[in-house]
Amino acid sequence: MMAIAMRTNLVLAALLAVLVPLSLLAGRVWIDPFHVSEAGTNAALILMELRLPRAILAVTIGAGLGAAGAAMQGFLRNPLADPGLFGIAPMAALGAVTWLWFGAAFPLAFAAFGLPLVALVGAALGMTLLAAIAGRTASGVGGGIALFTLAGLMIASLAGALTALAITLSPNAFAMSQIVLWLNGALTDRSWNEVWLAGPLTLAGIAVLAFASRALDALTLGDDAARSMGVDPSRLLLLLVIGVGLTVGAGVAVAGIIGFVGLIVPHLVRPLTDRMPSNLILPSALAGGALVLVADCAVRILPLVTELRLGIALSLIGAPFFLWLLIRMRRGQL
Amino acid sequence: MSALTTENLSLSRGGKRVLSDITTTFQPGQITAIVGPNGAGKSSLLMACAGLLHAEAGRVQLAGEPISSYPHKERAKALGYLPQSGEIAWDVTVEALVALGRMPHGDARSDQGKQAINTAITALDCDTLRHRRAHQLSGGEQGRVLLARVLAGEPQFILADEPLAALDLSHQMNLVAHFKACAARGMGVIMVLHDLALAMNHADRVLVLDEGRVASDGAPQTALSAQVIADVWNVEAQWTGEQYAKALIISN
Repeated sequence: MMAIAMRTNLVLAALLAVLVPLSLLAGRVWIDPFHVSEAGTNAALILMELRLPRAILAVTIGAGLGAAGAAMQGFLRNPLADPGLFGIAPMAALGAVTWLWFGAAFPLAFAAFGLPLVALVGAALGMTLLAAIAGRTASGVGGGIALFTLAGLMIASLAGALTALAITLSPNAFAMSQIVLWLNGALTDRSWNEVWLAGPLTLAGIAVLAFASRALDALTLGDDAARSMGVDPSRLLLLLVIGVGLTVGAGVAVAGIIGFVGLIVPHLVRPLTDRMPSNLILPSALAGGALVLVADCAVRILPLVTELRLGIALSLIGAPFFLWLLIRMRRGQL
Repeated sequence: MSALTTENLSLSRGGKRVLSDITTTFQPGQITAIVGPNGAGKSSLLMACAGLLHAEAGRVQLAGEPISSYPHKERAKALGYLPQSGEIAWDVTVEALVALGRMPHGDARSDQGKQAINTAITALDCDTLRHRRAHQLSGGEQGRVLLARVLAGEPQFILADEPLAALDLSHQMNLVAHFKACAARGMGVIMVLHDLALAMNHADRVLVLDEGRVASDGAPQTALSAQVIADVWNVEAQWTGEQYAKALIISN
């Protein structure tokens, strides 16, 4: 059991170790790794101030979303669960958009951490709402997959509608386009500031989810069996609210909505593990980082007039993948 | 080993009173069958004894202490609960699934934990299934593996909700033999059963529930007498055959 988990983690970590340096070279301006010093300060500047923080941010956000998706799937015992589909990321985005509206009312000193803070609060609020609506049943955690799924979809829908309302009522066209662009998710023009903001929060979130993961293993046998094995449902819910809130909130705060990573990644990784939820969190984090990094490189080098938004690119891959999962599920292959 | 007792236990679920004033004692080393018509409160009593439902009045005690006062893990070490659903959400290996039984002890990777896991796997003839995946197993195999998970935790009491319901005759007998072996080792076994003949022939004691109350309680021959069956199930029936091989003949 341990050997499989260890091997998968090592392979994925090695993959990341190869992908990160490669990603630094790719872009509109390709950098020759053997002649960086000759290329002058511009190449060094692109590497250190643009591509390196962007690569680290891609890995960070992907890791957070992958881990959050794996934890949510384990908690709901539902292979279709995803922080975006179930309203967590849309709630974080709603929080952030609310800040874009009302943030100006606060002193400038709050500006730097105001938006991330409300995004985190939004994500945690989304997870709490989901837990409160669908988790509060006599028999304990979970409260039924159908109830949870519907509650998640409704929260996502409501958050989306309120965000659309905020956009419609935005004070000027520039603000409107800024909000829309930001919502579509991207890592363009991000700096070390965003890395220092999202990195520690995401790491803390992944640590919380990893800490909760043994209880997720027990949920494999159902709510009642898990409670009989000593799982405290309210404690587990709290850990998930904090873990998912931190990882998804931090990601949305610095890069907008990047959907489907939490759905796709655990599926790709699960066959490489023993399928226990606890052994899926870390590999999903590593593979999520790799997926977002590769996707971000792809949108960077695609020969389009303007750069394709990362969030849109991943949705273009993710939505058909979701449909394919549904077909497999219907055939009983999942 | 200490007894598991309920004292004037009453509880409601979904606004409906499901158990009223239940006072009984479950002994270690004994197989107790809980039987009764649908909706009699059998599963609720089992869940309350496992600490999964909270009493509205009265209490459940283990070794003289209310189980509500036990920390979650200590309660889980003492009481192994096998739910009726038999749910296995992910296609994990049999070995990983049985290892979940050591979760309250937190020692699945230690020598002691591994030994308990191996003993449980062997006790339920699951050695050949060890590396198979749960979703590839037959219903009977899944039943054995799920019971092995409970046994791996080495609990004082096993509380099993209709563990024989989905099994064919041969697997039923196989699992009954395992429960008897557990009781012989000193564990208390409490089973919810629907099949009165299984309760009559294999339990040391039978507790009959009717509309949330104890209708009869004692040795199978007295607790499941023709009169009790007529009163509780409203069915005229007679037992025939030798002791431990009795069959129920329905006459109306």
